Amino acid sequence: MSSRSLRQTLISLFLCAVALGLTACKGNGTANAAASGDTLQLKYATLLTITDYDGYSVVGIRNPWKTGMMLHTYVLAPSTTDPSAWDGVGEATVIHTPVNRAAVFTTVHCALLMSLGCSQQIVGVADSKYIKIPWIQEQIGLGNIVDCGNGLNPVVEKIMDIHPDAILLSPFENAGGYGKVEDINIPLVECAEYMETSPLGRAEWMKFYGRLFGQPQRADSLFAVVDSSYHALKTLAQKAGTGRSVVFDKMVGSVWYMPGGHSTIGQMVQDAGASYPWADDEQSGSLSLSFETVLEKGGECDVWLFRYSADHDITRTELLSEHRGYDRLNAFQKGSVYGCNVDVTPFYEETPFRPDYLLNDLIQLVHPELSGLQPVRYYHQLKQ
Amino acid sequence: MRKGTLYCLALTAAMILLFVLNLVKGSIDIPAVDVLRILTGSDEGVKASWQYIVLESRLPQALTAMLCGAALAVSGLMLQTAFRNPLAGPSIFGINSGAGLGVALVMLLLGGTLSVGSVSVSGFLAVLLAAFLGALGVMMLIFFFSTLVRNNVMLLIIGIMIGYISNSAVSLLNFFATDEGVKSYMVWGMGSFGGVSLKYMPAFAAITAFGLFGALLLMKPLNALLLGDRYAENLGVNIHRVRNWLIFITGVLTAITTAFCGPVAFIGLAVPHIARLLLTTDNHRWLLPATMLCGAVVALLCNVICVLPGESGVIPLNAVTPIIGAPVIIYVIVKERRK
Repeated sequence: MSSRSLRQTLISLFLCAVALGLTACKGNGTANAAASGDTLQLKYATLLTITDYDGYSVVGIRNPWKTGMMLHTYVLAPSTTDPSAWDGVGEATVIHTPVNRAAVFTTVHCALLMSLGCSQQIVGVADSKYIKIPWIQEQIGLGNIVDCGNGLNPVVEKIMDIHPDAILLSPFENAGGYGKVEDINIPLVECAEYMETSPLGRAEWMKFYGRLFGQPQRADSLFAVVDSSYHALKTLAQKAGTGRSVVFDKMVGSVWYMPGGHSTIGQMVQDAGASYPWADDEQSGSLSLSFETVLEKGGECDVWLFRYSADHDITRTELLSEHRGYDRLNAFQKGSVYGCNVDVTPFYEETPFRPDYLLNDLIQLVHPELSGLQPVRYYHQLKQ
Repeated sequence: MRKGTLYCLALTAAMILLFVLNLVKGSIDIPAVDVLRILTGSDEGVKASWQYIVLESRLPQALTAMLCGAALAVSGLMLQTAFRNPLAGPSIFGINSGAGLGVALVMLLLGGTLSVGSVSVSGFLAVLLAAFLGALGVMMLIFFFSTLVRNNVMLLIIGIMIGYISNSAVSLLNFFATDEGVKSYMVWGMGSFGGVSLKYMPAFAAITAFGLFGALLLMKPLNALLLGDRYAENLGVNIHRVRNWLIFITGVLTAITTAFCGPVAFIGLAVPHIARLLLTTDNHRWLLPATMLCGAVVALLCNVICVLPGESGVIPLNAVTPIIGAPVIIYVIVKERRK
């Protein structure tokens, strides 16, 4: 018995030694690879790292919910590259680029791919009835693009049938994985950019998608345009001084979800030169407030901007029928109420990757005295 | 019975106290002196927004909590007595789920607009109407089955089954709805006493008062039902008619409260037990009014807890009610077991 246990100990020791040796080799490999890699300088994105190596790129996505952890690491390489090249990378999902057939489960990324000129690479979508891109609807009708059902619970058989090179989807905190989609050996691209709080940080992720779909230059130059036009607008707003004060969104039932001071919208309102009653707030999500609090802190604001979803433009009377108290808001009394019908305008489709478009809107509403800007794109003033 | 009088007086005092607390305490700090000045009408120099908050937001909300609490609690008591089941409550007949289905149809399928012929209502009114129609629809259905099924327990099971069917339809609607739709529905489902504005207060108060009054009239037959159906019949109580009235009154009370406040959890189930524990009696002459008062007290208390975080936000109502309700239920079950 004792000789057997001795033997077991020896074997385990040996295995440990081998394991250590292997890890050491792996470590060396990483170090070597890192030495030859060219890390792309990302100016704003905090969750993303892109490193280009000879013949392949390594993309790291940090876990937005667990500090210090990685959400996913990808190796992007043409199918011609020898797989041994990225041996030292560690646990990573290999995606052969360019992705020629993609199932894209979020409207935002469909819109981005359209503007990168990669629309032909979309073969599947999810929740198609909420995709407000005419070309995609047309292709679904023609059978060139397949609707894979609900994005959170897609029809796996349809996905297997179209057999995409990759699936783009939105990760959720603690969602417990993606279910069966994870088991069909198709790489999942976790589009976590919505967890970036700065508007440009979110938009910068297009550099990743550009590399994924074989359009790195186009993505880089599109981002350069977004970056420079965002900053030009911001400078313009800053020169104009503090503009009108703003409250955002409206009640959902008994709760008013107000964007926090560090949320994307909260930052953009401040970039537009508006005074925002919740600017000091540190939340990057939204605050659940009672009407009382909004009236007390934001009742005197000059402008009220809200997003809504309806089959027609909402009127002031309809708005009032949702909540009588709205007529106590200074902005409502003065008629400075602007709505963005997200069913009609491509607000959610465009603004994540084109924050400059939204900033342009905000600046005009906050600084009506400024001229020479693009026409307002998303918001409209409410009629009686 | 002196104990009953004593408790009813104490509960009334607690109710008044909590009512005042509801007016003074809110998401924002308004000094009590100013609240008093606003209430008495000598409100010169007080901020206009504060007048609105006290008179048109906090006052109707406190009134709603009081009425809603009493209505749900008394519905729960009546159902528990009639079905001799300590776990019966207003939600058990699927009336809540019916309201939920109505609201889901409007919010998730019809985009917040309810059109009947040429009349089209949208927003809050549509939700209100849908909830009320949904609740009434299920009530009618239960009525219909009550003519076919004589056995109370079987009727209860039918109610639960109707609830399941409504919930399955709601799941289906949720699955295919937009993010915003799902969110609005979720918020509605969390309940709130803030749904009754001054404009609708007269209608809400009148219907609820009518239901509460009807419940008081059923005091005697309910006492007779405690003795068992046979005895009750021997005492000259028409069991079938009492049951129909009972379904009608609890149906109306549940429909009106759910329409305005969303499905408020646990008050209907737990408060009758709290009242029974306090009074240690099953005599409805005291139990019924005490349950109403107790319901009002618990609802007012929950409403205050909801605004405790102050300016940083609100807590949903249905996150608060189970904290008070669930321990009571557990206590009752453990006590029953020991017997």
